[in-house]
Amino acid sequence: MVSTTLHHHPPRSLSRFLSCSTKSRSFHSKPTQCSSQPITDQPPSSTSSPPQSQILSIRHSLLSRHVTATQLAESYLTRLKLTEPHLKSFLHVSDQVLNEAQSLDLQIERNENIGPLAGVLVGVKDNICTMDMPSTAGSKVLENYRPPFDATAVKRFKESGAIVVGKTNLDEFGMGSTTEASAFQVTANPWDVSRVPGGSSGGSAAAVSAGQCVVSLGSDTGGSVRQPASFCGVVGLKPTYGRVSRYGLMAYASSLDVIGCFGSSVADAGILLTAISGYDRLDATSSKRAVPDYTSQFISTELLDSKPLKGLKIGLIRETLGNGVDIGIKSAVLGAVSHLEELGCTLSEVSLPSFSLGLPAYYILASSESSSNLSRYDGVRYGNQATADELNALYGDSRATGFGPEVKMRILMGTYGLSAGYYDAYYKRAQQVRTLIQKSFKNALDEYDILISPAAPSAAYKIGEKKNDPLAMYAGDIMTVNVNLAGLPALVLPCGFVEGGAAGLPVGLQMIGAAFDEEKLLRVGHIFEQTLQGCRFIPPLIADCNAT
Amino acid sequence: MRNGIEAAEYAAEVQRVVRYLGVSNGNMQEGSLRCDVNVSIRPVGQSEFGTKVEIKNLNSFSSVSRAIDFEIERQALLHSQGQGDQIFQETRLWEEGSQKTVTMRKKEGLSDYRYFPEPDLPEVILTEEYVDSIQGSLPELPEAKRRRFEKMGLSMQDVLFLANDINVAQFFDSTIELGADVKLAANWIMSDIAAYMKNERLSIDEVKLTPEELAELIASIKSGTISGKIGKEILFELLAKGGTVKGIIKEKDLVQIVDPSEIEKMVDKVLSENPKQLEQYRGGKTKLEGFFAGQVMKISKGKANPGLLNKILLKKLNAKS
Repeated sequence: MVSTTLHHHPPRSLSRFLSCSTKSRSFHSKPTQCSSQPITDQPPSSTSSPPQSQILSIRHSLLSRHVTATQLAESYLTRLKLTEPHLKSFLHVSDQVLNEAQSLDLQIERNENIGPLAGVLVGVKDNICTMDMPSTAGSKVLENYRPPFDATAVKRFKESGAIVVGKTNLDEFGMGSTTEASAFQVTANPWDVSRVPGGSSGGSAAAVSAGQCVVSLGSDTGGSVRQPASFCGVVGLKPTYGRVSRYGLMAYASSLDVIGCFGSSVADAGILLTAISGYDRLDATSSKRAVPDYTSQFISTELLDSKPLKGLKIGLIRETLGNGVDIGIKSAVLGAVSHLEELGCTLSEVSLPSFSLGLPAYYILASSESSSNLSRYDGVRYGNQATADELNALYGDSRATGFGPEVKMRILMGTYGLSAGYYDAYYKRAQQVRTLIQKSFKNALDEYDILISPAAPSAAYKIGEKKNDPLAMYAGDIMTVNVNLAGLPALVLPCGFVEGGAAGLPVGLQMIGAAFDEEKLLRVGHIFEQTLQGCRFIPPLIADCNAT
Repeated sequence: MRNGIEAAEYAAEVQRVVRYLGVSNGNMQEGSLRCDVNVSIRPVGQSEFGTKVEIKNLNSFSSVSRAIDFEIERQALLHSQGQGDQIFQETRLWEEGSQKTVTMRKKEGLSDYRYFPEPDLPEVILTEEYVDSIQGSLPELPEAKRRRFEKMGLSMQDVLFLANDINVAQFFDSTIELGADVKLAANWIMSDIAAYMKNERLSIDEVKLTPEELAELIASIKSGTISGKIGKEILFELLAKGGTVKGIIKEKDLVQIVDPSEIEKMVDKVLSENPKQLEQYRGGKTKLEGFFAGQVMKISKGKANPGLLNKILLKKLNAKS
């Protein structure tokens, strides 16, 4: 592992897409209704003020009787309905939202205590079970499935007063990076509807980006929260493996899956994490470690020193800035590096040996585990059943017609990698690589407080661009999979833009922490976000809506 | 192991142990204990093992024993005919009806289970304290119990019977802890009590007799308070209805008569009431002693001490006039 001090000045021509600290932009709005065409010539709004916690401001508004939960819900639902035809983030919108908001209003009227997430509308990725609402995992095999229970994470945020607004679109069973592998629809990126929102939690990321809900839940097995967060310009938080119960998350790869949070600010992601974290006896892999109050990390900027991150040692992972990473991404990340240095951090480059081996190891392990986890979809227990004269044909046909091609490919890959004669060469080898990767992260995090990298090698690409080249699509996971292999927490937050679309495309910075060190990530992320001048990460589509 | 009976005894001991521990009823017929065996043979002197054959479908200890012996013979026969290569590594089924092993239907190819370590189940960590606490909570296992019973001077038959069921062993131990004679306690349990349990299909926990009362019964017979015969009757009542020895003795007035003068009176009465038989006896029919003894027992309601009765009766019978 090598550390060097960073001396890098980004090319001039791209300066307007660097960290926004010096650039302010002007805003021209269209005074009429929100159209499907984003503003073509003008960059997005800049008011220089960083994002505030919507959860906290909702709570404040409700308690001060400034607005009712019903009014709030109505305004989100209106925006949702207006934008859905263009975005298709949702597979199902709840018809109970206003009822629940009205119940909450009654409680408020009666001066009863309300939970920390009261009135907050949450989008839930459709591979997370919600009682009495369809939960399809984006697959025909579960097309009409309604679970009789809520996932623990859902149960917990409901107990905090939040309302499920609907189920968001995803690549089938979490297998994909764009939502193009959903059996039902493709979600569009609110920054440019001809582009993908990322995946597999594309729907959840787009929904938060477009203001269709306040926060959302996703799942992250190889980057499925972090990459869409980067593509959509929102905050994505992947907790440590075991921090949040997986009970009710339809399993893809049990040793890698986690439930993660999307928000429009670091604070919102942290508040949601606090609500859903903690030991669950229904998930034997959930951690018994106490859950700190992650919300206590969010200090107001007025109270910060001039160098609030002084003493913090940050390692920039060298292997994530090499070939194959777009220049625009590198610039944006280096801009973030400058910003962090301004805040007082010490930044060095760090090399993680075996970094590049993570991608093939991940695909072997994840597909192997998925070949076992998806064997339960037999057309008998739940979901659609094919008609057949004989049992094996029933199983075979139900799965053949129910699963999409990407899912089938991964099941076959996984089965192959586990089969007699190949187990040692593939699965066992991949596990050994996994151990190496865990060790190299641990060594790095013994020396550095946080490691940083881009969240993806490019910004959002066009819908259809990578669909026929699965390996190219898989290659996009290079920045994220190692974190899942090591079970570590990571936070992605928007740090800049690259060219593309009407108003530029957002770029996310990934911050990786030691196991169960979400507090540090949130603290650093919050300060970074709050001191990032001159950028607002609001897609033009929505800026239009908000302006009307 | 070398033969069928060894394996069957081993399986039976496993059953005994799991029953002792209370972790299973170990019933092969119910599938609570399952047994597959692997059999191979090799010429004496060869260190390399022969081809092993697996046998399934064994549903009792005796079928374990017979299947193994059959398979040993089958393989030995093939060897002796120079057809040792006809022994394949395969799974055979034991057919209870025809009492032989047969090839299972041939399967297409090797079973590929594609096992990998289950990620949803984290490691289970067993601390030293935990293991020690389990060790400390184990009951005395069959082998230890048998050795202990042996040391008490019981015969192997007694030892095997008493140690077979942990509840019976416990009953026995409780009885002798109260001071009862070891051999007598063993006898009562193995004969009368076991017979009752078998007839009524009850376990020793279900009979109404308690170890305390068995000990009391043994003591009462030993002290001469009651006769052995009366003891058997009392035992039956205790088994069926419970109660105490003292209580039953009192209730039914069963105290043994040991006063010689009382017995003498009864003997005199019987002899005087049966002059014809007396004459016959004195005439040489000595077998009639049993008749008189029976009659005395009858009027004593079984309470006459048999030893004393016989002594006094003989004396009277053999006295002239």
